Amino acid sequence: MRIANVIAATWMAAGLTLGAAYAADAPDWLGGAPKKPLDQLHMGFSFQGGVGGNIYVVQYVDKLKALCKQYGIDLTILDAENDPAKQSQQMPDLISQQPDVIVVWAANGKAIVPAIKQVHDAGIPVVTFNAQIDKSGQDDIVAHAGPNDYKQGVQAAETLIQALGGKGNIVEIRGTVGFGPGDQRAQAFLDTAKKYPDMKLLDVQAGNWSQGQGQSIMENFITRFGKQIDGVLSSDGYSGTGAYLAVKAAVAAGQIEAKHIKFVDPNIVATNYDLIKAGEYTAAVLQTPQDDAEFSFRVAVKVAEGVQVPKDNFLPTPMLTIDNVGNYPRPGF
Amino acid sequence: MSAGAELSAASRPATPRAARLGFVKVSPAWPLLIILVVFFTLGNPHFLTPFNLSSVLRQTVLIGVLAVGLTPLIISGNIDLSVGALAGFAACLIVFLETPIGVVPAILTTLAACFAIGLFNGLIVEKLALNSIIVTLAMSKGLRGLTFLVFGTQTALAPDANLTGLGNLKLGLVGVDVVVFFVVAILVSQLLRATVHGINTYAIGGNRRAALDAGVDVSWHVLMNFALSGAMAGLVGLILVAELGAASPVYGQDYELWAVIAVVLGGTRLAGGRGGVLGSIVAALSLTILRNGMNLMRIEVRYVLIIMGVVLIAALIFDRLRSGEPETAE
Repeated sequence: MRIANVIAATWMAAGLTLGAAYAADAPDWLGGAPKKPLDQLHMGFSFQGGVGGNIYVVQYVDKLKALCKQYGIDLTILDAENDPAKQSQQMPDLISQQPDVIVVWAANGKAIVPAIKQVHDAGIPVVTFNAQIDKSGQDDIVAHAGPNDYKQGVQAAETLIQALGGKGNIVEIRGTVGFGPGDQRAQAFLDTAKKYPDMKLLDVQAGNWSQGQGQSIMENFITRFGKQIDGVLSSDGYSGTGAYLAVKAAVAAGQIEAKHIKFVDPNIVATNYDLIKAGEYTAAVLQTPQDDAEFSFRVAVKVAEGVQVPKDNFLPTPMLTIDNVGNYPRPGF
Repeated sequence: MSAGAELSAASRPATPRAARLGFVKVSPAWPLLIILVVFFTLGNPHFLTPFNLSSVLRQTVLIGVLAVGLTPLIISGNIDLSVGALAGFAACLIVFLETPIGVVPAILTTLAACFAIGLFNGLIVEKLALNSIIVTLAMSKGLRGLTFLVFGTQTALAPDANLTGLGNLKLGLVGVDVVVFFVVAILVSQLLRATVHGINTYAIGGNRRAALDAGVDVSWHVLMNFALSGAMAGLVGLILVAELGAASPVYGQDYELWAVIAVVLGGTRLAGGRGGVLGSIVAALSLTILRNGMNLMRIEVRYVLIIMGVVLIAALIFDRLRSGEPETAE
């Protein structure tokens, strides 16, 4: 009996010591002692793709890798190359490795649902990053983390409409069709514009987050609508910058009045940060891939460690204008 | 023996260059498959598990079905680069028609529509004597635009959950989609090997002028191959809807690229006259295993893209090396 008590006490002491050691190593943002040391965690990451050409995605993934390296977390990354079917079919590749958490940046919020259900049924917690999935899949995820694309879309739309005094003609260069952030930002504009009967949407085209495409589309808008255009709402800073360059050329050619058109987008990049500072671009929402990745990473680690998190975790995203842009660092993308 | 069979059985004398390159007569798909299986089996304990092999088969289906459909067309000396866009169109059409006319009529209507679109491609190529690369590339762009125009820009959930359930149904470890793939592959293989159409396909690809002179109805056979390619794209659209439970107008992007790579790696010559379905299947499987294995071994995504690009170039080099060989049917 006495020996049993000693053994039990020894185990308890060892457990408490180990727990204390885990807690001492745990970062403050974890909010508690981890059930498993961070350097024993394995995270599986299935993302929509874009390493071949989307700077935001490239920097996001790089930041995520750096964070995992910092904490010693084992990370498996699968690139779906923007193919919803490929992403869905890759999921078993992650499941077979039995990670502590699988995080999914969906190429298509509806098409990914059966695959997420598969992960859920395999007993692995799922966190969705950045792009939200359809409500039919919400019961199979533990949490979502990332920017609130709809809210950012509303922010951008409201800012542009206010800059135009509540009336005028807008053209929109939206994001990739069928991709969550693009769809949500576009929907946000439509919903916001309904409150302003004197606002008119002349046309909307998909710029696919590309400066080149944004510029081409804006050139076509200028050809069609000319001086009717009062404002440009872009899906992101790349296409917004492209639109600005098209307008700049049109001003130089005498087609458009200088300083007339207002530009706003829900996702700033380095180029339009500079334009805002120079007073050439009205406003843009701050959302950097580094902040996005770190914010979401922390949620995923908490889920892997069994720490309670809210279902929806949205990245804070301030609106940058000429008045406050100097308070924030220039984005690195 | 039919005129086509005589033509396809004849062989030109081998050139010295072709004789030196005798080793490339064998499709690289088989040795590639063996090397990859051995490599990844040794490299990762999860690779040769029933779960992963089941997953690999499933991941092969989409490109595999397209490759099976493209094989007869490429053997006959043509190509169809619109199959990816057509698969996306088909997926959207099925979901669109499900509610008004029901699942089965929606599927049959869509397959018929894709057959007709393939036929239309063939008519433009044959009757206007245009290059199939240009025609089908243009069709690819047009189809993508038509898909957005008709079905809108949003992803649509498939109304009938039974179809999604069927798409994710497994018979043991083998998915229903895998079974469909192999049934289709066997049928097309038999079409090529055991029918007049198949024999004439080889003859046309081997020497179109000679086939014409021998009285083969070249246009008819080429049209049928285009139509088959279109129908297979329709089948891929159906499989996409069944697996994903949704249809998006962006489905199928770049699928034609990998399907053609699989066909060429499998031993079918881009110039026509030689090849077979089995090679295409083995090559499609090899490509899937390559990607799956790299995923399991956690190869950095940038290297995955580089390696897949190298595979594309290797396929083109292999086809070029084979272009000096005498033309014989398999």
